Amino acid sequence: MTRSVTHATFHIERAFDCSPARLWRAFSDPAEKAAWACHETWTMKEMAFAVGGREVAGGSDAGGPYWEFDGTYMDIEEGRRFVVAYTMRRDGLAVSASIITWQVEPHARGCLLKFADQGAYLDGHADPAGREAGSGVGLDNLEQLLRAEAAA
Amino acid sequence: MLQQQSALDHVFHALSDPARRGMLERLSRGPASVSQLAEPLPMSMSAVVQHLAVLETAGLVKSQKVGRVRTCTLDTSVLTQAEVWINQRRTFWEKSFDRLGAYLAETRPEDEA
Repeated sequence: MTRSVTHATFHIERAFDCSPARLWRAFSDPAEKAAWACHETWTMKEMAFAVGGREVAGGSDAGGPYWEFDGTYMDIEEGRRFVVAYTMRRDGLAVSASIITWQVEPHARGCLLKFADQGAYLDGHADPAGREAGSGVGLDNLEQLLRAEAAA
Repeated sequence: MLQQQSALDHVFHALSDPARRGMLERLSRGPASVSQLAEPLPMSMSAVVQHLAVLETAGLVKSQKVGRVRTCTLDTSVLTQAEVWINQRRTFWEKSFDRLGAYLAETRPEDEA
């Protein structure tokens, strides 16, 4: 197996029509988190929203590999910011290890989520399906890539 | 695989410099001569040529000399590998936030009516 690592950072900002406190509850309450964070085929296996606490969720799409998110809360500033370190595994193999910073701010619409994922993508275990889906992208995504890199 | 990874390393290295990103942004609007690329940049021509060499090594830019003018064009085919790495994970989270938005909208009447 080829041993390699690629580092990449991306940022996502999303405004929501609710108070920052409401959004915070959707992140910190395990039942609420499970209600939106897991799509149809995923289940929340463990969640302890506290510094040092773990969050484990996983699942597989029809006949596909088993994906697992395994995270640990590194820091929590109540109502405003939390940091999670996580690995993403495909059939038990670590595909990436990342640090996510989640920030919640007031916004004209209600609140703003600022999300940053700084990742180490390991040994070229990219998802073949994703690789295929991504092979069609070209110039349109250059700007996005440049922005992600510029913000890194 | 090893070769692909090394190509990817060149791409990320090339993209790590703001001057080189500026050149790519300019070239994303169409081909340009080396002097056109150099014009807005506060640096010597030799520095510009060095940056171009990095972009060419990464395969992001191709250049052709006709007479005394070297014309540079953007080549995006090499970007796909790097894009796939980032876009795959970005899509995972974007979808997750779509569900979060729908969930917040669904639960709003009880919470904040």
